Amino acid sequence: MTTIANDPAHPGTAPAGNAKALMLTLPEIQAQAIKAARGAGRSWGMAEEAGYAAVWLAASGIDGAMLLTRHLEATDGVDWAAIAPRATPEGPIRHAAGPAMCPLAAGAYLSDSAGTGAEGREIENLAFPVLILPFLGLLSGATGREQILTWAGGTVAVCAEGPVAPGAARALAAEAGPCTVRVRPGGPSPVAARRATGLAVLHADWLRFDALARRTYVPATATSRADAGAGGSDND
Amino acid sequence: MSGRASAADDPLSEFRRPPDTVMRLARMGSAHPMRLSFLRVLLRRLRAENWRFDRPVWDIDAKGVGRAVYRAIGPARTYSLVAFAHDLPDHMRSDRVIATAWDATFCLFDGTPTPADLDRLQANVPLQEAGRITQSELSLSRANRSVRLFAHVVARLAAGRQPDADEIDAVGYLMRTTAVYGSGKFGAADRGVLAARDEMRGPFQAEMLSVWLTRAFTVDLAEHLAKAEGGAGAVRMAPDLRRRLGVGNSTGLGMAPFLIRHPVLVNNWIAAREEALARVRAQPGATPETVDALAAALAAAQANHAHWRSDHPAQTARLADLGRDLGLIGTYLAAWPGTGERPWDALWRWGEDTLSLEGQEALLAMMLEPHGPLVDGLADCMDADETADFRIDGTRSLADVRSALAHHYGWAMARDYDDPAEVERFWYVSEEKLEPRLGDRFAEAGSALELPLCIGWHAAAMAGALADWTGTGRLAEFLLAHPEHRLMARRLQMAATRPYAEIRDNLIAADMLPIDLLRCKLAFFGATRFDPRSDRWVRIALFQNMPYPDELNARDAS
Repeated sequence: MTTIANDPAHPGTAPAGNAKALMLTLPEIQAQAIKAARGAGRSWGMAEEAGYAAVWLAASGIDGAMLLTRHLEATDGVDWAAIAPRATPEGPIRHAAGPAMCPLAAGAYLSDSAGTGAEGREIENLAFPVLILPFLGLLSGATGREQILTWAGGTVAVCAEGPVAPGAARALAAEAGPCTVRVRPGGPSPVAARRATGLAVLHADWLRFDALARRTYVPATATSRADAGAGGSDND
Repeated sequence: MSGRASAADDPLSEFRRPPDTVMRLARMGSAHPMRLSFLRVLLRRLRAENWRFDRPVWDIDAKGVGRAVYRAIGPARTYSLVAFAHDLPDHMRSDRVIATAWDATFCLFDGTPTPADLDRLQANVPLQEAGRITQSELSLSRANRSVRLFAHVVARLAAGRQPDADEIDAVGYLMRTTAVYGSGKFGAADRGVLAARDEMRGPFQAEMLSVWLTRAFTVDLAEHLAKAEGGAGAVRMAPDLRRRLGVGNSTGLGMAPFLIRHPVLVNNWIAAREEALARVRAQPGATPETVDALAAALAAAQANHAHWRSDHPAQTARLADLGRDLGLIGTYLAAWPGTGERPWDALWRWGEDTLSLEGQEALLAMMLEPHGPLVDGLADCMDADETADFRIDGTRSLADVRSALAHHYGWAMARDYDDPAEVERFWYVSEEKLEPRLGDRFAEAGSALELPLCIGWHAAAMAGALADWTGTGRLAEFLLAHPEHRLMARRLQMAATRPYAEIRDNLIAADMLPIDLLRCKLAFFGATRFDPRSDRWVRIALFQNMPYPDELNARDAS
């Protein structure tokens, strides 16, 4: 393609910031996460879930963009059937042997099913378990009750807007999985936590995030460039 | 209106237009600006709340290079347009998003910027997409001169003469913006920040304020250059001529996907306008004041038509229709309101039977004009919390989903998507500055990267998969097996309670005109003089014949 000066889409560039990190706004994280998930082969609807999840985590002070990137890289090109849950309306959420279960897929299924499986569910072989927390947020919003996730390393409670105790969520974020978690409803959902308006992302992480997103762009051709404009001069 | 009526005996229901009428591309592509357009909403607020305006910084040299700050001081907060004026060689002047330099660049700053803020912004705003702004900024934009008119105005004012009115009317603006970015783009504050502020909660209010202040800057810059050139002999522009100048906007496909990606928001825009029309039609009579105001609105529409020029064949034909229709409306109004029970409804029904789409939509805008107290409050219903409905309710039975899909997307099922002409186009994002573009599926590469904007096609595909599905009876399990229909399942849920959420046409058909999408959105902004330059590129004007900041200051002071 023709290289254009100041082109934010050009390989290797990133939103300006200091050399090591840049501040992304929540809409930027959302847009980029949707593209990255799509670039890694997720459906558009699942990509929207990824965008939602990355923003929810970022607003809670957790680098969901970086964790999402790693998860998408790990499952890049893998068949949906191999990473999707196998589930029934009430039972545990199981998974076939092989690569770990996609936390976006498991989370979306959980939030879709809000109101069923009321006694809680076990979810096995879950990759990057912190990525399921945003969906417990949706569950909490739908049911009005906080949702409590337990894993071998601890417990984290979640309300609609974020984790009730961010420290517990950060501990889960350090867990790459796969692991087995249990989700059960708790007491009435507490008042919303204060939300961050953006997230500092390391430049190196941005490049990996962007590499996935860039797969959704179509290379330019002379025809595509000409067809999108008016054709005439703008010096009139 | 009172809220006592239930949906079953809603007294306005007979006056409301159904979505199958309203949400068609040809009609959306005939939309006119009206009282609820976003720039009108902004100006009403600035007047009602007695906002003050000043220009604390004007640091621009004789060549027109430098920076300026325009402040809008409201009852609760101050916003500042920070403008950077550049010396742009002609060969770099392009309105396309792929441009890299402009005649002027801008941002809307939250508060009053310090010199340090201005220095930071000067290092970033002129770079536009390649720069970085912060949570202190609400929008980022740029503009190019109308080379011919700008030069004419400067030369005349420098020589102590007024510019030629015909030259002004032929273009309508000194500069045209080529992109106005808001809501979290490039580091800016997002809707989550703005939604908590009354003055910024409505759609595009930050962007409209930025563009309105930009209009003042374009005139100040021309007068400044005339003064530099003509010295003591130079004059300022006469107020009546200055009023006729708006801010231009030049835009392409980038604006189109927005309407499809924000179904809840679009529903709220259209629903507010349709509710306004229904309220007016339901009026039991027409007072002398509203009759006079309607006549004035017709006269304004005729004056606007007289100056509205386009060389595009589609728009030329529509302008001819509009001219004829305005004449017919004038004739009809000579014997109106008459003695019938609901004169506004009679007028509307006559218009639907008699006028072209262009004329009908112009009539709608005119009919709202005399009814500010009745309809202006609807502007408060035009924003949207788009996160509220994100979660899919997967516990719904598939029988229920099938039936809802057939009910709300029946318009999409009637199409034959095996016919190449129905699926010829595909929407995509180019790697060139991420410009949204439209390709030919059968002639160009890239359709595997198609954006999901062909909602009709997606609805039909989901209906097909549901027909083949033999699994359990819940949506959640269906979506687990068919994640490719997840996007459509979410839209179906949103559309079920929002009649105007979907454009009921095929957005990938060979004969689809993207300018129809652009015109609908631009009319909601308040744009006039819609002038297509191709079937996917258009120029318009904003704020023509509206007051300037100094006029609002003077009005308030008197």
